[in-house]
Amino acid sequence: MIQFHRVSLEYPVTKTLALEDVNLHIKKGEFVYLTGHSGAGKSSFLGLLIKSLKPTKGQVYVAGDPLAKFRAGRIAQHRRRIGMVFQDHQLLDHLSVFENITFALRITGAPAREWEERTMHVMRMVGLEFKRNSFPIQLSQGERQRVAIARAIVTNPVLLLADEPTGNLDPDVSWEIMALLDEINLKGTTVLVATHSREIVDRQRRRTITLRKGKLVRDDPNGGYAI
Amino acid sequence: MLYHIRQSWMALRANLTAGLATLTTMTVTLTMLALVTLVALNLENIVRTIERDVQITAFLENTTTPTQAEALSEAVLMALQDKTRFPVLDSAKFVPKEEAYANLAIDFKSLADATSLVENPLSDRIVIKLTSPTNLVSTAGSVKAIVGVKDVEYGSDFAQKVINAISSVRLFGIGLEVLLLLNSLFNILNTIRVAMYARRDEINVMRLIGATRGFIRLPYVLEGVGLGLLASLFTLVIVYPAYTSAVGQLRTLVPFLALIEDNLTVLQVLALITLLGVSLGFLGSLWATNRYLREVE
Repeated sequence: MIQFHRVSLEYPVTKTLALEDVNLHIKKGEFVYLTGHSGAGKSSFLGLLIKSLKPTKGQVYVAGDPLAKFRAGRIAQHRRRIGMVFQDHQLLDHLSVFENITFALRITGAPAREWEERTMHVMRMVGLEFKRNSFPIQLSQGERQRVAIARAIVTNPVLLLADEPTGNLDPDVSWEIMALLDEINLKGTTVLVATHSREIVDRQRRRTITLRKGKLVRDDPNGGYAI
Repeated sequence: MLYHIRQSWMALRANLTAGLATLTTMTVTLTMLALVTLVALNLENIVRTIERDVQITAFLENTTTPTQAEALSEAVLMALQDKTRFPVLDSAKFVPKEEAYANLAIDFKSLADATSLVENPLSDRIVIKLTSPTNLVSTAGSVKAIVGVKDVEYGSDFAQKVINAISSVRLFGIGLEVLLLLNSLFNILNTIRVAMYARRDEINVMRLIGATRGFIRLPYVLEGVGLGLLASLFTLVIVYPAYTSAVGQLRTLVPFLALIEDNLTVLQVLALITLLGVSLGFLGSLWATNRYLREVE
């Protein structure tokens, strides 16, 4: 599903080496944690996958496609295959829960007749079917993250990327979110979670990739947090 | 499409002052452009009429009786038959001073009332039409040399002045318009950029979810086109009645001016202005959205 072949990334203005000679392969259907301190290169790693960043060296492949060859129109198509969940949710405050989720379907060009059914399906999945007309500001942090997850999966992505999805949440809610990501993975979606929550990584025992100063320093199939 | 129209309306409402500023500038620009175009068209029409009606008026020496006047006119008309001296002569017609006065009174109604108060100040004349305006000056000189002709009048000075005036109006108008159009374009550019900046979070989410550039751009392009269309409509509402009223007043003051009065020409000019306004809105917003999206990618 994901392949990094000798990938390096240097930010041109600051000359910071965000990633250095990273080689990696993640198979379809895997659940992988990406760990490391702040500035280790986790966000750059995710940025390369959605092609908001371009590698200085090497090749990134997603679902077998070399991303370097993608131009503007193809990038949009590529991103539709990926669901993204952010630490700060990135929900649209002027839209209701239902509209926030439907927004993804509208943008990806899903037929309008399917919106209601598909949106309600994922709302039930994340347990927010009774919050249909609420606005993000009326929701708790955990509920907002659930909406963000629902929006990310409503388009049936092959890959789900989550950047610190539990960063702002208390432990109980964090476990609920992780359980939800597990459930999504069990349905066949490849899930990559960037986190520095030791507790979650240690308890889940999934494949864990560790970055340090842009270098891949550990790739442990049995998981566990170790920096 | 309904979604995009709603989004562009929301964007416009959220940045109402910037939108109104653009609308005002565009309306002023398009109104100026429409007026300059109509003035230039009218001046051209006047010159064409002058050139088409090119003629020399030969004023005859004063005589005391109609018989003397007729004899003098016969002599001058005879002299004009000389084809070697007057190769471009088309026709020559004697107009007694009474007829000349009556013709003048048709254009200037108040003269009719003055007939009883003052003596007719006009001279007997021969109106000479030419087949072409070339050699107008030399022909007029030859006519003046005929015995019995005290003076001649022809429209060359007036025509030249009008042509010069048209060139000046055109140059000034084009210069002014280019500046105003650029001003409008930059105004639209800024309005759309402000609108996009105000919704940058939404645009960012759209990009990450996989929205195409066209999808992101459409509401803002619609906003630009909408502003252009609205400004064009305001221009139409301002210019059409203003022009028809101005032409009506000029018709009373200067009746002999060949002004454009047919609605079709005026509406054609306004249709072109509308097209220009819409194109300006379209191009400005396209430019702004392209620049913004290039910056964030």
